[in-house]
Amino acid sequence: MRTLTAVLLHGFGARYDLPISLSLFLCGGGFVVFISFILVSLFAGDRVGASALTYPRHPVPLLLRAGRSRALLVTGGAIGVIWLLGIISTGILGVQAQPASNAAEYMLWIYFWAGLVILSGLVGNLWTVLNPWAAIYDLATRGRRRPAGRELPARLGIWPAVAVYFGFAFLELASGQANRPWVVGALALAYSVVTLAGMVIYGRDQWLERSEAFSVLFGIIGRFSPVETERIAAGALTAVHLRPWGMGLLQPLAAGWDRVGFVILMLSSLAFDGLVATPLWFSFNASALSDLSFLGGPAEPVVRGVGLLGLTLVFLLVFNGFAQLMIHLGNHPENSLETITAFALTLVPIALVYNAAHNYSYLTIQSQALIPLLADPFGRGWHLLPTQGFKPSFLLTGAATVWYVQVVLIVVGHVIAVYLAHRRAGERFKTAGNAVLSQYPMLILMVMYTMTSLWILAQPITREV
Amino acid sequence: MRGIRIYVVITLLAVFIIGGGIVIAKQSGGGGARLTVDVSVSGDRMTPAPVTARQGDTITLNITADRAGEIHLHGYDIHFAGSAGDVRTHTFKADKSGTWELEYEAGAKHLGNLVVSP
Repeated sequence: MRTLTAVLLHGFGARYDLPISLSLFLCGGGFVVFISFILVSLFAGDRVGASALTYPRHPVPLLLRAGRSRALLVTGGAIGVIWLLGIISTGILGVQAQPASNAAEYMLWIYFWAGLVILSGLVGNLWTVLNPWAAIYDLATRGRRRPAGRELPARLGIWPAVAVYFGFAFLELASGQANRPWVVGALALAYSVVTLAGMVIYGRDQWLERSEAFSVLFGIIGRFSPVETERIAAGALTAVHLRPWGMGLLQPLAAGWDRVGFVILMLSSLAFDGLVATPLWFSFNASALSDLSFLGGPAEPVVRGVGLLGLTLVFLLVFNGFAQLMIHLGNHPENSLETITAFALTLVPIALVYNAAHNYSYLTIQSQALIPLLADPFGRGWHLLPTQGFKPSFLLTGAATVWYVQVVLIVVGHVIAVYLAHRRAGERFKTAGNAVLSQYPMLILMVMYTMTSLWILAQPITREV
Repeated sequence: MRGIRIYVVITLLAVFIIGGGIVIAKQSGGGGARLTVDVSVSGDRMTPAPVTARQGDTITLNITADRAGEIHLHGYDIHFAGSAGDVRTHTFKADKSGTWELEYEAGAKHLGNLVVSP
């Protein structure tokens, strides 16, 4: 058998989870089908037209004041910039031999990539406050929005952001380089240069909204969150509201395959992260690698890259197939791209809860390993903080607790997604009859996605040695 | 009616969440046995792999390897030091459930797992 230690699960590090037990898988799966059925029959065609999208929201003047305060912008920006500089400096200058001893790996893959994404879904789009590149730009221009020097071609849409996101997912899941601290540090530096240059050339907001993948991602995730902000074109906050979780996904979004592709990539990259640890992938991988042995070293990233791209295309085709069926049954053929984009957003809760379930032990156990590293971030024998002897606590990570949290999260996310799709159908398909009929394909699709999430969690975790 | 429906869904979810918690709490436990497992390591492989136990068991691991080098059990943070052919023994309580890796400390060579089920 080949030796393979370079490519690990996630960005780096091992997983401590146990696959969820068969009984739990069956219980969770059964309940998902049951509650979906209840939801459909209870809410069948209750609201149609624009009123189907209304939801309760309450203004929060305190948050508006906080959001407008200079102190928050300066503090948030400073944290973001320090974090970015931390990743670049410890990545390039810190310990290289063991990724688990390099702070950059934790700061990027656990705290930013898993942690901040989930936190933003729970409380609000934190990236608008923390974005280090926006902070640097605003500091340099003293907060004035300068007019864009050039326009990005309109037909590009947000495809640049989709490409960056795919590149980032490739780095994490396929390249085998994600656990090399200097690669992480150097790429963070390179991406910073590109982003700052892009903001200068194409204008701050245009670049962030269309090319900066993380701003696009957190924008979508922020729609799930309970904090709703309203801004004028120049960027100043005019109102902050609280709303139930998920409801922001019903707000209007520019239609286009680029937006659909971005949401589907969120689902497919997460699913791929889980899939590569399953026995199914290992047998596929082994035979693909023996066929591609002439490629030598790059064979592994090629197989994984093709796998990631292939899974994304399959997800996209399946989604489009079900969406077309839905539009046909809903008897509403006009503006079909608008309809497809709107329904793609209703899948976001499923992606978000799977992200949280999948990364649960990563966030609760391995995140703690950053604490002792802070005392000596560059591996030079420093004692900056008295945290050297810190031992991770395993309090929240008994396998039974993990399983429970995972299954509950997935079921709750599924319920929110089905509910949102139902509201959206009421708005899109005009009559109650059409709306109900259209929901069957969507329901089947969502049950399929959720079952895939549960199935991956129930697979034994495999790692080639 | 509109108000009632959302409460029906919330009630069903609550029943699932609470009921699931009870089922899981009942399923876990049952460990507490004493286990002795003889593990042999040759090359990058250990047998048996994985070593399985239940949470709460007291495990005695006797590891024999065909080369020197410290073997590290992650999570429990136990180091099995010794030369080739030595029996390296540690006894510990399996109080943390999960999948825990055993590997050669130098070079992080993964040998297999200790799987502790709840």
